[in-house]
Amino acid sequence: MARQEPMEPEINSWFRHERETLHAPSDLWDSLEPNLGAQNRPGWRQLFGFRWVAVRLTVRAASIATFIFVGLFVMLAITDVGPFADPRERFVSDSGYGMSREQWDQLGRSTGGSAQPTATAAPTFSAGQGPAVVTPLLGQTETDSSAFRARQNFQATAVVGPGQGNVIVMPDGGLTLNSSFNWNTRITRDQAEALVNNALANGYGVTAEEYDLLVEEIMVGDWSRVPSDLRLTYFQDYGINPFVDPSDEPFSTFAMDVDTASYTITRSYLESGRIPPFESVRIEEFVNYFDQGYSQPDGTFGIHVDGSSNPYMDDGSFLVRIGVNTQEVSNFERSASNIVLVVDTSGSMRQGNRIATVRHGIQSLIDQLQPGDTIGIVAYNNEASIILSPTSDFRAASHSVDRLVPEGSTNVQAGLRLGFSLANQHFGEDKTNHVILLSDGVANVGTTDSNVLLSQISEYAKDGISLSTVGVGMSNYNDVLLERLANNGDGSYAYIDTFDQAEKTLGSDLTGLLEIVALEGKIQVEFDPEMVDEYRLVGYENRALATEDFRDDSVDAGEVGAGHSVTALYEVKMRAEDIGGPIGTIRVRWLDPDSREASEVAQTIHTDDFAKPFESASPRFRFTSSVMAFAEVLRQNPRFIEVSMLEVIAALAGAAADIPNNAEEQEFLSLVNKARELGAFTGFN
Amino acid sequence: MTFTLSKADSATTAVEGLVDETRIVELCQDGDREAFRSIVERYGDTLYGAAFLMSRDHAFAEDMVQQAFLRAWKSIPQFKAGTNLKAWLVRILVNQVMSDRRRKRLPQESLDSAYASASDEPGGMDAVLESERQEEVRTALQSIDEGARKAIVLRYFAEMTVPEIAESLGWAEGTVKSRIHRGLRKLREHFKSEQREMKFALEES
Repeated sequence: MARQEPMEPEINSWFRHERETLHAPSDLWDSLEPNLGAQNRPGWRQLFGFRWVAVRLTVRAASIATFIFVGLFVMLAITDVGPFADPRERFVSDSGYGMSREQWDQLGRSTGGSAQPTATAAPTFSAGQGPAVVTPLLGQTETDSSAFRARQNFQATAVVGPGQGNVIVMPDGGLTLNSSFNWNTRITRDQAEALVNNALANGYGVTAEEYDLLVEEIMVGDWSRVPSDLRLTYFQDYGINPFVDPSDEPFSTFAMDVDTASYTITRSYLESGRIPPFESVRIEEFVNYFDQGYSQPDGTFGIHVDGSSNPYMDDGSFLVRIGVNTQEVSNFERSASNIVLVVDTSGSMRQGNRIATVRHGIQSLIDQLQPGDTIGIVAYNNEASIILSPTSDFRAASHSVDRLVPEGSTNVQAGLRLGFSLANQHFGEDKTNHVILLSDGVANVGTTDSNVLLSQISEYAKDGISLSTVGVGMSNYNDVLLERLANNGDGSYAYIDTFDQAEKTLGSDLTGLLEIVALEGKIQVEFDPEMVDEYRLVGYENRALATEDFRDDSVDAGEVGAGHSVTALYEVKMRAEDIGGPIGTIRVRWLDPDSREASEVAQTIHTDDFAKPFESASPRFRFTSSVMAFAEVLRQNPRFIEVSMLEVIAALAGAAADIPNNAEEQEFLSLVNKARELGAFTGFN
Repeated sequence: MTFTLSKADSATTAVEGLVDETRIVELCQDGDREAFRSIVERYGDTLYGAAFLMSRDHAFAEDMVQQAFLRAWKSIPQFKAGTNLKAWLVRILVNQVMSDRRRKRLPQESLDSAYASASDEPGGMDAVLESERQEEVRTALQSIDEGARKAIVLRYFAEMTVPEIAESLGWAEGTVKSRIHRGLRKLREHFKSEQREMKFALEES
């Protein structure tokens, strides 16, 4: 030990005492001897020692492979899962994994809501009771697809603290821990061990060391315990919106979201040959990644409605696309900006091409800067330091990027604190004051109470300094944290997986990031119960708002930049066969970024907007419907279990070909093919 | 040839001990049970004590030590001469504890049984204070997480070096160090929060 601990003398004295008093039973040898039996003779292996090593390595590799195969997901605190009035309303996330295909099927057809598979309700243990038996739910049900079965090898449910959590062992290709990330909830070691023991009872073999690591993994919340080289990826399952009868609730209300991270994360998974965890899929971020081809609006927001019969279901439902968009602003027209970049230079950023991607993104950003803008750079690892004081000397800025060298741990709090204080010092009343955090999202040093951090960020946002987050890397990625930071910072959240994406997000799309045209943007769609039997909002699960929140301007919603579009898809079932006329109203509400005055625009949804065959819908709509189906399958929405990916691809091929400049659409097509090759849909076909 | 090492023998110098041990291991590899007996006698207390301090359960510790030695006997032909015997034995023990707990889904510790067996321990009238202190520290030891507990027990009870512990547990040396550090910190916190008057007052120095 480099340094003697203050307690060492006492500890030594006590253990000396223990050594004097603790003795093995005196009959140890006598009871051992009769049982000694034959020894394992090394035989020929001793002569060929290297072979023995090879055998051991093989065994070791096999055990590690098994271990890696075991992805662990912990989902905590159902009380914290989001905006659902009754947690049981979430028809998949809490209970949907332990079902046979028949049950999935049934659940999917029952259109959600009340479907609660009580037959597979998990045994639970309660906090304070210590470990108890947690019975595996999965691997017990028969399914007719090996991938389907493999995916569901294990699930255990535990009541931890005030909430409920799931541990799901999934072969997603890596050790992945998923958590709803209630930083105030702790899983005790006993509870964690009970869960791991349970996984092991399901047939996984691990070494003592791996066992330890698994236990530590589960005990999230204490970052210091998790070895830095361990793969940790945090996603949260926000559930799947069910069908709603408008006579029960005519209003569907949600915050605007222009994030695209979920799509680029999925792309990164698939490009590296892995199927993404279903929780990483947020459909709205898939849809919003793609250009919807909306015309430029006259006012702040334009509203667009179209649709067609639902090509993926034969239940007579329609697919309705509701889009809002803002006017584009060129890079020359945007307001001058005071930008401070906060760059994660912790050791984990060394992995892969993370730091290179970040540097490339920053260079692209610097290339977009205009006279009047300033840029500053803060780097953080154990501590935060100023790499570049805010300056208009973009050449100096460009050179400073080389000084971003990763080492040490991750103190995101220190980085953000310094970043915000720099932005504050250079605050311009007439400027866009924006902090951009670039990180792989692992917060392992500093205050572990994210609520403090988040509320500080909200305060800054109120004072006019917003925060956007840009994620990079995958192995220890924290999706939940980065998204929450951006939400509280009134900014947006993107994920950069490639140099091209870095260039797009921080370069060509920079104006949309900086030039915010609407604060607290909300959409409310009112469906007429006379006309509509049921509706389902596709996605936006973690953006849902209460009906009364729509006109409550203090409720945090989404910020929308110039040239952004926000698209929501609804599955709609009509009441009567002979339909016609208006079926509902779309309302959009937002605050002016300068005056914070509220505005509202509305538009009626007419039957004519969507009551037509899929084939006659616009290419962009058809393409978007394919994006939706792809995401629904990836996030394992039981309603889409019958959807064959061949259908998706067939629909895609036609739609993508009709779209001009379709590089991204073509790339999407290749991703779908990759996912199919990886067997992402085996369980669904 | 028979070897019977008394307690005094374990106090021989490290070099002698090593030479000694190499010969004993060689004999064991040839199937010499008496040689193995000397290993059991030399390391029995250490393994047993470590198992007890980790589990706080005498019966469990006894069982684990037996299993560990049986396994050690079986696999000693594969033991590589010149490597650390103690670390090897501890590794077997720790693996044994892990796999056993897994198999039986044993809770980590049963305080009831621990207290029951603690009271069985021999101790005279003047040992009351001593055993009270022992109880305190054992309780404190149970309050820290298992990784740190293992590291602390091996470091201070089994008197192993950081590299030895790293080898036994299959952890990186940095991990061992940080867990020892964490364990000591937790122990200190525990005693602080307990506000108990200890014979050895634990103060920040």
